Amino acid sequence: MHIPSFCVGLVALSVGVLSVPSAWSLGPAAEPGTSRSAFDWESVRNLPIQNGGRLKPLDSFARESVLHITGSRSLRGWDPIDLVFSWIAFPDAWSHREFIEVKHPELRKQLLLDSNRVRFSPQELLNHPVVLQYGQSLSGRTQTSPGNITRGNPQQNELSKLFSRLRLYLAVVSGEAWTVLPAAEQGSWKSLGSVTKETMPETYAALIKAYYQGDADAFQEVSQRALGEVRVGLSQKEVRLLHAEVFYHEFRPFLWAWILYLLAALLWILSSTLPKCVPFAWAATIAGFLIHLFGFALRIWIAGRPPVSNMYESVIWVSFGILLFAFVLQRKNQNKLIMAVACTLAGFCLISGEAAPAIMDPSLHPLVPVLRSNFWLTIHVLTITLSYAAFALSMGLGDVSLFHLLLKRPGWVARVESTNQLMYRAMQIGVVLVAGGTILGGVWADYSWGRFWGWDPKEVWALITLLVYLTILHGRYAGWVGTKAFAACTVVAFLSVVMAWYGVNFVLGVGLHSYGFASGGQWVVGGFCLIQLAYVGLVLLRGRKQK
Amino acid sequence: MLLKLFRFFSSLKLAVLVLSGLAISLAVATFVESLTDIATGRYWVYRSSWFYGILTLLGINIFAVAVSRYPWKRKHTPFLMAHLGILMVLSGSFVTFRWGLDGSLVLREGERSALLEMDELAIYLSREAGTVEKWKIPWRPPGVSFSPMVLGASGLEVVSWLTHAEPKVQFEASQSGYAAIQLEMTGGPMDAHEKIWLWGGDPSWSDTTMGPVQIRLMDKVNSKLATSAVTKPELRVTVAKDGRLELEALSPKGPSVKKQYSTTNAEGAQMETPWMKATGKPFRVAILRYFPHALNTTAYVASRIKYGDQAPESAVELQKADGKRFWLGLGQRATVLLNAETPSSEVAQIGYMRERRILPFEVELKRFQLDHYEGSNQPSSYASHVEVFGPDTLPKGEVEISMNTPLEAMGYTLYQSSYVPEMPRPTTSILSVNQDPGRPLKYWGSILIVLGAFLLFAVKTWKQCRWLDFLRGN
Repeated sequence: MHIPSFCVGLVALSVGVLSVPSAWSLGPAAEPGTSRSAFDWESVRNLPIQNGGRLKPLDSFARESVLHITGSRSLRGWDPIDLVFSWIAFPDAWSHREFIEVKHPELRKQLLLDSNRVRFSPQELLNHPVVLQYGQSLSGRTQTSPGNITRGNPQQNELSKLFSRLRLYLAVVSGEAWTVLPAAEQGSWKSLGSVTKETMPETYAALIKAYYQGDADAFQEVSQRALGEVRVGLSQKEVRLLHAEVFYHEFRPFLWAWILYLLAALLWILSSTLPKCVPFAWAATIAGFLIHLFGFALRIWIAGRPPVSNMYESVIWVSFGILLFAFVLQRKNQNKLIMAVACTLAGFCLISGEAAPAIMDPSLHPLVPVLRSNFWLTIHVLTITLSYAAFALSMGLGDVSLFHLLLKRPGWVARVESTNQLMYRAMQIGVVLVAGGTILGGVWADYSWGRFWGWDPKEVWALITLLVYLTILHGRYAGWVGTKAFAACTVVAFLSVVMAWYGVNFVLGVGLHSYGFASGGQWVVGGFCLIQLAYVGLVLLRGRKQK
Repeated sequence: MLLKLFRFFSSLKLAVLVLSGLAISLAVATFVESLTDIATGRYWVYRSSWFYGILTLLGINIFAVAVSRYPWKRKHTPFLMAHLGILMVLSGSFVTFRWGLDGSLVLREGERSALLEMDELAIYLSREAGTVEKWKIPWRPPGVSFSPMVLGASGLEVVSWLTHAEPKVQFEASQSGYAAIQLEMTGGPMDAHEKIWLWGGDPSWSDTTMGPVQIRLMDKVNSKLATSAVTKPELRVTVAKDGRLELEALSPKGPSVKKQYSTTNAEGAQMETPWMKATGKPFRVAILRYFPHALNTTAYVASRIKYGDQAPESAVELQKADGKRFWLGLGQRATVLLNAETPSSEVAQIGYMRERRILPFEVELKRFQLDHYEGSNQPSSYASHVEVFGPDTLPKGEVEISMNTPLEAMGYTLYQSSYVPEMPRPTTSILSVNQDPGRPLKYWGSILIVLGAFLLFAVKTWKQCRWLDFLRGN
C-alpha cells in the first residue's frame, strides 16, 4: 500500500551522474573499468550494510544489484562485488558499456531501441528522449520491486522494471543504495551518498580510493580496518549471520544438491540392472538431501523466517518435500523406483530454481506485513506447497507407469500395478495436505481479515487442484478409472498444480494475452505441460491401436 | 420412484460429475476474473444462480451418500466426518452469505464514528416527514442491461445505471443564466476536428485554448471581461445583452475576421478564419449550439476503462414524475421536488451511495501507526490504536488493532484492513468490520474435514504399516 515516487531524480541524475568519486579527490586512476580480480575481497564481502530493509553483507547487496541490473548472476565473468566497486569508482568508463538489461523485444520496440541487443549502456538509456518521456509519465505510479509481479499491463510492468534497474544503478553509483554505519553513531544508518567528506568515515573514502588507484595492498588493509570499525556496533550474532550469508552465497548448496540428485537418479536407474549400484545411489541421494537440508536450514537462519515468500523458496521446499515423501513411501513399499523418480524430479525442480534467477528471485527479502510473524500462515503455506510435492511425485510415477504401458516389456503388468499403488499413496498424501492447507488458509484469513473465503485466484486454484484429485480418487473408488486411465489422469491432473503454483502468479496475474512476454518461464512451463499431454496422448493412442 | 431418485443423488457418478463440473467452472471463473475483474467474476460465476445450483447439488449428493451408508458402523467414521464437515462448511458459508455482515469503517485520526459502509449500492430518500427509505441497486458488470426500478410511491424511477461512469458536463437552455455555445473547429494543415463548449458562468469554461488558439467568451449580459491585447491567435465570442452573437478571429499581426449573428441564425453558421490561410487549409469555426441562457448539468457516460481498480465508480440516472431526468454519481446527493404538479408536493433529499449501517457502538481512532523495515520504504506492520464507546460490556481504554490481532466487540469483529497512503505519514485507517453467524459451522466443519480426510487414508496405513508397530506397543 505504499506509493513511492516512481523515478524520483531519474531525470536529474541523468543530466550529471553524481558519483562518490566526484565528491573527493582520489588521485590518479589505474586502469579505469577493468576487473580487479587479484584483489582480496574477503573482508569487503563481509562488510555489513543496511539495504532493502535488512542488514546484509556487502556481498549480497552486490549480487542482488548485479542480478537486478544486468539480469544475470555475473556480468561477463565479473565478480559482482568487483563490478559494484567498479561502477562506483568509474562511472564514466561504465556509462558507455552495454550492461543494463532490456530483455523484452516488445519493450525495445516501444522505446525505439536497437532490437538486436539485450543490454544497453546507461548513456544510451538515460539520454534517450523516449525513455525519459516514459520515465516522466510513469512517475507517481506504484513501484515494482524486483521479483514482485504486480497485476497490470505486462508491457508497463517491463517498463517499470527497466526504470527500477536504472534507478538502482544510479543509486549504486551515487552511493545512495549503499548505507554505512558510522562507528561513532551506533544504530543510525546513513547512505554513502548522503554523508559529506567530513562525516564520511575516512575508511570508506580510502577504500574507494584504493580501488580507484588499483592498489591491492592498500585495499586489503583498508577493508580490514573498515570491517573492524563497523563491527563495533554489531552484536556477535549479527556478525555470525553476516558470515553465514556470505558463505551461503559462495557455497551455493542447492547447486550441489541438484548435481547430486541427478547423479543419484542416474545411479538408481542403473541399479535396476546393476544391483551393485544401490549403495552408491543411496549415498548420492542422502548426500544431496543433507546438503539440501543444510542449505535450507542456513537460509531460514539467515532470513530469520520460514521460506514462504516467493517462487524460488517454494521450489526449494517442494523439491525437499519430494525427497521426504519418497523416503517415507520407499520405506513402506520397498520399491527403488520411487527414489529414481524423486531424485529426477527434485533435481530438475532445483535446476529450474537455480537457472532462472531473473524469474525466480533468489535474494532474501523481508516479508510484507500480512505475511509477518504468523505461525498459522506459515503452516498453511508450507502445507499447501508440500502437497505440490506429493502430487509431483505421483505425476512422476504416473509417467513411469505410462512408460511401462507404452513398451509392454515382460513383467509390465506387475510393474504398473506396483507403481500405481505408490502413485495412489502419494496422491492421498497430497489430497490430505492440500485440503488441510486450503482450510488452514481459510481459517487464518478469517482470523486476520474476517473473511474465510474470498475467491482469490490462488485459493480457487488450490480448490480446483483438490477437486481434480478428489474426482480421480472417487472415480477410482467407483472402479471407472482403470489402471491405464489412472496413470493418465494423474499425469494430466498435475497440470492443475502447475496452474495453482505457477500459473496464478505468472499467467493469470498479468493477463491472458501475455504469453511469451510477461514475467518469463512461460515457454518452459508451457512446453512441459504440452510434452506431458502429448506423452499421455501417445500412450492412449498406442493402446487403442493395439486393441 | 423416490428410491430411484435417492439412488441417483447418492451415486458416485453424480459425485464425480459435480466435482469435475465444479472444478471446470472454477477454472473458467479465474480466467474470466483475470480478463475482467473480481466483481465481474463474482457476477458471472461465484455469485450466479447456476453456481449455487452446483454447490446445492454437491450438498445434496454428500448428504445422500452419508445417509445411504446407514446403518453406520465404526469403520464409517472417517468417511462420515469428512462428508459431514463439507456439509457444515457449505451451510456455514450460506449462513454467512445470507445473514453475515461485512463492511468497512474509515477513520481519520481523532475521528469518532459508528458509520459502517458496505459494498452494496443503494439509493436513500429522506422525506419531509423524517422517514428515510432505501432501495438497493443490484450490481452488474458493464454491458449487462439494467432494468428500470420504480422507487416506491415517491414517483421517482431509476432509469439507467452505469457500472463505471465518467462525468460529462452538458448545457441546456433555461430562462436565466449565462450563455453557452458549442463550437466546432475544423481544417488546418493537420486536419483538426474538435468540438468545444463555452459557458459564461465559470472562467474555466469561458477562457480556454485549443492548440495555439486562445478562445474567449465575453458574456456582456452577466460579466464584464476586460479585453486584453492580442498576443496570439484568438477566437473571441461576444454575447450582447439582446442575445446577438459576435464571432471574431483575431491575429496578433495580420488580418482579422468578424461576423455577427442573431439568436435565430447563429446555430449552424460557419466562419472561415484567417489562420493558416497560406497552407490552403484555413481553420473554420462552426457554431453547433447556442443558448443565450443556459444551465450546466452533469450527465454520466460509460467509462472507457471497464474493469479493474482504475475504472471509475458507478452512477445512476433518475427520472422524476414530471419526466425530468438527472444523474447522481456514487456518493452524491440532490434535493428533489416530489409530485411538483400536485398540492402535496414536498422537498426531499435523495442520495446514491454505498449502503450504510450504524454500529451499536462508536469507535475513535486515537493514532495510526505505520512501521517500516529499517532503511527502506517497505512497511513492516501497521496498527490502529482505537477506543470504543458504548455499552459497558465493551473493552475499556485504548486498544490496538493490527494485522493479525482483531478486536471483538458486541458480536462484531474489527480488523485492520488497510490505510489511505498520505505524505508525510498516513493518518486515515481503514478497518473492516464483520459479523459472521456462520463462523462456528465453518470452523467445526473444517476440523471434521481435515480429521476425516486424514483418518480416511491413515487408517489403512495404520493397519498395514509395520514400521509403526512401536506406536502400537507390540
